[in-house]
Amino acid sequence: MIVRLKEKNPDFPDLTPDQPYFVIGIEANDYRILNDHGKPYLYPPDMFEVIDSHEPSIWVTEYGDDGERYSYPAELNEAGFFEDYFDGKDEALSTFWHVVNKRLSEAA
Amino acid sequence: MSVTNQDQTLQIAYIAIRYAAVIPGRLLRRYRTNAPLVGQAESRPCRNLSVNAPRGGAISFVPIGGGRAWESSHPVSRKSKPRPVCPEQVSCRRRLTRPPHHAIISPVIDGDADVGSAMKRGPADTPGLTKELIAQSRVIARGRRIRDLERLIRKYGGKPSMWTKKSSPAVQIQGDSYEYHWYEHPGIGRFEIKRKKVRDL
Repeated sequence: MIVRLKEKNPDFPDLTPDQPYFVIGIEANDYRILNDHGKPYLYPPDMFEVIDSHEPSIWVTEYGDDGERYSYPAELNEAGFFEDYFDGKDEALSTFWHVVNKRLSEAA
Repeated sequence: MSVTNQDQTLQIAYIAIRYAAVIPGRLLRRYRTNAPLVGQAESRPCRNLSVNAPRGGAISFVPIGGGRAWESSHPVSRKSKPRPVCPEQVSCRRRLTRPPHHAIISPVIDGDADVGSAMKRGPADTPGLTKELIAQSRVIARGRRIRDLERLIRKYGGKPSMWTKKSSPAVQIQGDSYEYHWYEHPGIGRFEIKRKKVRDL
């Protein structure tokens, strides 16, 4: 799945308009994408237009109590995974980059 | 003495005993409710606080810490111990009922320190999580992907999908990089702000 920022948003200087962004997963309806600084934060979906709506077959999709959607590759789908990543835990860091590299190489 | 007179005497005695027990209680409650609060002369007492005050039987509760918490105050010790007064009634009630959106209600703590003990330390230990840092914050986890979601809901309430864990941009403190991490729910507030030493991810 690939998206593009609709327009320059002063609240999000870490994203560039017209730049395609690869969606790593969906978390409570937000897109997790690698921003211009290479950090995988969550961003509201209404800021983006979808260029390629094809969703990877490895995504595991679940829905929460409020109807919100969660879709991730199984390795990144654990509660707390990205908290560990942003805490700098080695295991989360290596798993994350392994999954992203694999996915990007498949897309190339 | 006839039977009728005996009955009347017993009734009078019963009423006297009953009111002897009830009237002091009523007077005491009236005294506690209507008496002005002791405090700064220019401040208005927060009379409506009792609406939101926790109930504790014979023990009354008074606001402390600028209205951020309640403290029990036994009526007997009231004369010797002045009750704190809130500067203004409206803001005091707002603080005591529900924290406003974007209100920082817990102090910053370092690393994985114990939250309970850190909260007792108070604002003197709180380094600056500025408005600018908050404006530049990013969401690192949301809803069911937050590890402590169940605990957050139990403790603070809110909807699961509305809870976020956020991170500030890195700030330099004495040559080291730090980020602030916290939990946030729109309409409830920010909680458990921690300062974490970071390395390049």
